[in-house]
Amino acid sequence: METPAIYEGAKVLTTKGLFSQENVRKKFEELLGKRAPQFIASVLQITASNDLLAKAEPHSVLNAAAMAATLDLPLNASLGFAYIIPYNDRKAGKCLAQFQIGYKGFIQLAQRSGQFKTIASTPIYEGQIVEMNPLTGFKFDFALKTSDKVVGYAAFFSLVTGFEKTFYMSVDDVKKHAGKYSQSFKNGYGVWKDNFDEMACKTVTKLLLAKYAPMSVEMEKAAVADQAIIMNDSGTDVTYIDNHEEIPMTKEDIQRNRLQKLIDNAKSADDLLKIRAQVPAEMHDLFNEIAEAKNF
Amino acid sequence: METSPIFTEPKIKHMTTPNFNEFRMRCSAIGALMTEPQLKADKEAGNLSATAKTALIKEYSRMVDGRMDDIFSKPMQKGTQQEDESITTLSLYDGRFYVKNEQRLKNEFVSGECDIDDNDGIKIIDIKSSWSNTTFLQSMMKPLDSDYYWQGQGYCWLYDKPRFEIAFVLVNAPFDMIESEKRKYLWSIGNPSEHNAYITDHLAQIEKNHTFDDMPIEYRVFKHCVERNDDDIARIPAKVIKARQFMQEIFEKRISR
Repeated sequence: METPAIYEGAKVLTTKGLFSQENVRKKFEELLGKRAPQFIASVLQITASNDLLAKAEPHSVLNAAAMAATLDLPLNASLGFAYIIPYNDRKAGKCLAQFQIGYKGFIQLAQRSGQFKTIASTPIYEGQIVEMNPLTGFKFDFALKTSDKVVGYAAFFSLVTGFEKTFYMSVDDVKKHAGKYSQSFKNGYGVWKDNFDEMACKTVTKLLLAKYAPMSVEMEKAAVADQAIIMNDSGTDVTYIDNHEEIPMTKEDIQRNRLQKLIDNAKSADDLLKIRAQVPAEMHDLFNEIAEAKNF
Repeated sequence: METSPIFTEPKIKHMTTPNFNEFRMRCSAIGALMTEPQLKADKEAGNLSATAKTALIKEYSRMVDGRMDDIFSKPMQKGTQQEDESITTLSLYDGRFYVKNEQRLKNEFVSGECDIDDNDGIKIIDIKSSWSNTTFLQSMMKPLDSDYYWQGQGYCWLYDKPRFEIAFVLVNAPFDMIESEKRKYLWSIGNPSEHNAYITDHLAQIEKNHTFDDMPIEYRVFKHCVERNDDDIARIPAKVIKARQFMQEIFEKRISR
């Protein structure tokens, strides 16, 4: 897929073009050394394989990638450390890339600081809470699970100094938090809708660390940059677009989302052919792109 | 869901004589128009029923005066806000890629905008997002409402299709709406600062009542089918002509006072 172009003087600059510039490559080499070319290749691959991200402003992709490199977190989605997520800012009439850190990313940074003995988060099932004390905290017995119903999420850390802390939020508290900080959650789509467990674990981990943990420079930087559009490559100027902007899904986003779900549900190549026959011609490229992953 | 203009200027301006000969019945209101009057003589004369007159007074109020009843009902809000989610759910249920229809059609007598104009060439579909599990089950167990039957005839006529489907779909209420229901409950019990087990259970029940992700999709969609009936369609113009005369009467009575 062709990446979007921006004009710099008379030159048209694409995301790919921006990342091939000497100064940009140098910046990543300073941050990552010999791993820089591999990292840049992964960013370009992520950008090309996501229709919306492919439309994102090249500099916002660069700044989000620079933040991931600064924190030395790979952007491989299967690792779950950090992500570059597209946001369609209709108010500004442009698509921007947003940096998001996964809860595994926070755990990774905590481990690297050398101050943590253990750090983990988990869903809590019905029956597992044995004590709820607002001062001393929560106690769980994981053997007492009475059903598969998740009632909340907990995060825990212990430091090498012996200090330890548990943080718990009920499902309702997590939803309220998501509703407050994510417009896409309120509108019923996006990562919160598609991956609630992971986002909930991330929320309790992030809040536990922010409230009670000794924060390394990297962890502070990660907490500030998470879910932000990064406005400069040093990551010091950020704006939390998803927190306060009204970003309704475009008609194209809705149709893409619908097509994605329909293709995900397809059981055979025959099913895919039937779906393709109903898709308007102007959406055939999109169909091919999504259907390719099915590999029937 | 066929929508009506909200907070828009009346289509027909005051102080000018509206041309009611251009009035077209919205497909969703044809059902009321086609109800028969109680008296045999009125029926034989093709006169309008009391139900039809009530519906026309609402249409007059909306078109001429820009005033509408019942625009803030919660089921309507849910229907509007979750329309795309309902179309996606129906797409998954049918295994077909549906796109929201945005083309409003009209002929000499009726106008309407169905939710989905399926490209199979056979049918058009209208979606109703049910408010709750109970209303969904009620829609499923009741015979097809005559309003929906006539809405379907109107659409078949306008879109030139042999079949109309009305799909009742159960999707989650929007987050804000669920939170609003919880706030309303808490307010009704005096906004206690601490939530005991009873209150927590009640809040959880409110959430459960408005979310359906735990149900398989087959449980959350139900369809009624309406086959096109050209004899019934042929009866619509005469009633619309009567409707135009009745609206003219409303207008004249108002200005004569």
